[in-house]
Amino acid sequence: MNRGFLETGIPKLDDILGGGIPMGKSLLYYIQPGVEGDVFGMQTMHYGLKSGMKIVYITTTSPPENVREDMLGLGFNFGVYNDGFSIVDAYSMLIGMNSEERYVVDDPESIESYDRVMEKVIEENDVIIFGSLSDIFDLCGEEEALEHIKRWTKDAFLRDVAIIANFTAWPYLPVVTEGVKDTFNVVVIIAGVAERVILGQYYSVIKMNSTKVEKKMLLFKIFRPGGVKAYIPKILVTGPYNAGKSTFVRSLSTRSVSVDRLGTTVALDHGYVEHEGVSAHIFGTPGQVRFDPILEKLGGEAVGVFLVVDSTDPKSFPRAKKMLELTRSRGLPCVLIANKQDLKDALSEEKVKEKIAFLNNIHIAPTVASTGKGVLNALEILIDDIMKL
Amino acid sequence: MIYHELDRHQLDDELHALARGTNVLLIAYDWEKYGFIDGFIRDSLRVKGGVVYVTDYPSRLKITNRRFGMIELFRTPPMERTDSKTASVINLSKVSVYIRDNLRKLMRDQLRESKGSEIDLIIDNINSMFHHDSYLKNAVIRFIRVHMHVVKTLNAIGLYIIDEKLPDKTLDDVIDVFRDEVVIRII
Repeated sequence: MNRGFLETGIPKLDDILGGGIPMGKSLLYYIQPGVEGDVFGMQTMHYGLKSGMKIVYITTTSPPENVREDMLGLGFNFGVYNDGFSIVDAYSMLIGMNSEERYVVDDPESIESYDRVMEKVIEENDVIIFGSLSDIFDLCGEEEALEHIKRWTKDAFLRDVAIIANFTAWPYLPVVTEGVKDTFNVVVIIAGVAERVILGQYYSVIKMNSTKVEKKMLLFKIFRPGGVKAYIPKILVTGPYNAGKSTFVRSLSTRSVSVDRLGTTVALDHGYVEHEGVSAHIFGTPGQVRFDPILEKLGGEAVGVFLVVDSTDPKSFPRAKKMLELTRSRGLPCVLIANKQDLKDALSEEKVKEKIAFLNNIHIAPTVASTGKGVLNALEILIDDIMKL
Repeated sequence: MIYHELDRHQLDDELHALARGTNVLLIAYDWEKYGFIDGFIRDSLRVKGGVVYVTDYPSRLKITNRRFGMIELFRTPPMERTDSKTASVINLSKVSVYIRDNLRKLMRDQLRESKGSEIDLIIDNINSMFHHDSYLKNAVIRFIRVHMHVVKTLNAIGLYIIDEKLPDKTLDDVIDVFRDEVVIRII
């Protein structure tokens, strides 16, 4: 357990933050309305609980039992951390119900009522998660809430308590939205990729160590169970005929399907992989020349490429270069897969690199796709390149 | 603002004549709301459109159609879980997520089936969201503004139903949000 940091548990975010949020600091998940961002706070809570921290979750608009249900639905079994997990119930009194939670806000429409609870909460816990800070703003008034959250983050800092907050960015006045962002040490924006309606979702760090930054957007999906996973919509696997592309796709994928005839791909291979918090769809092309007319379509919208070559067949290497052009994949993050390394005539990684020097600065990964050797390593290299931090 | 005072029958004609991308505030009290909503939804589904219906009183509607999505608002947690999405009437973030999910599904289905892309969003009713004090009123108005923009972007029709029994100032504030849109008072 690292008491110095709270890991967020959000894929790649901890790498960007240098390990997580230092204790005493604060992180804001700044969420566009309509984007399912509240899971981020829950996932961070789960990671904190796993590392043995005492964590309290403040619920303002859902009954505590719904919070627990939501966590279980995400696969976060809070039950095993009984002593470490508690809820501030700022909902029940709002609808005139009693609460049996350890902390209860008597009047959720009064910021003073929160204040009375927060003193104890900061004193008794390592991490405080606001399920929805914007709801407190709506219920108690924006100016008053902002003033108090500033004070709570200061108090938390003095006691080495980390504060994490989900905040739905409704169209508040800029003085409110900017004021909230200024209050937190780290701000992660969670927004939608929209084409008339939100089709995809991404997160991106816009403030770190109290300084404005612009980090790469990372697409994500929410899995139940599973929580937030970084998402790569399309990775292309291409290369000459008989290089082992279909075997590579199968070996890499959690599940896969191939459209083939007598063992040769005649349309495409498709696979899906989940690895270390990242999920990706893999599309494999056929390698025979007669399928060249469809390669451009198959390559469309790919965000990364595996170029697979047979390490025993250097004569096919120029064809590999040609396929990269046909799929219009030049310039995308690319890993050269030097496959069939188990065969006795296989060229070494260095020799393959030497002979394929026409592809400058390309990553190379030796693999034996038939056994899976080196395949996940290749995936990690490509993911790092796609999500270059 | 385009303002009409219409009876129940004139209302149908007026709504059918609306340009896509219009937001309509329907002000009424003690009228045959459920008959009207049921008819409006069925008409939309009949012409292959899609409807997202946000309601605080769903039990009277029995519509089974995959181009119909319903979000139930509750003031106190429901005793039993239902198939439709449920959210607390004050959890407007969650309501927004559910609306977005339904709209996305409808858009994808329509693209896949190459059918018409007409979508309607009905919020029934705004009164139930004004559950608390004036601060929450601002939250509801922000919520309405966000979804009016979504309706415009989608070239949809947005129907926002409100009972006239709200305090004058609150009703005036809501009407003001629709100053560039259509307001209909049912008489």
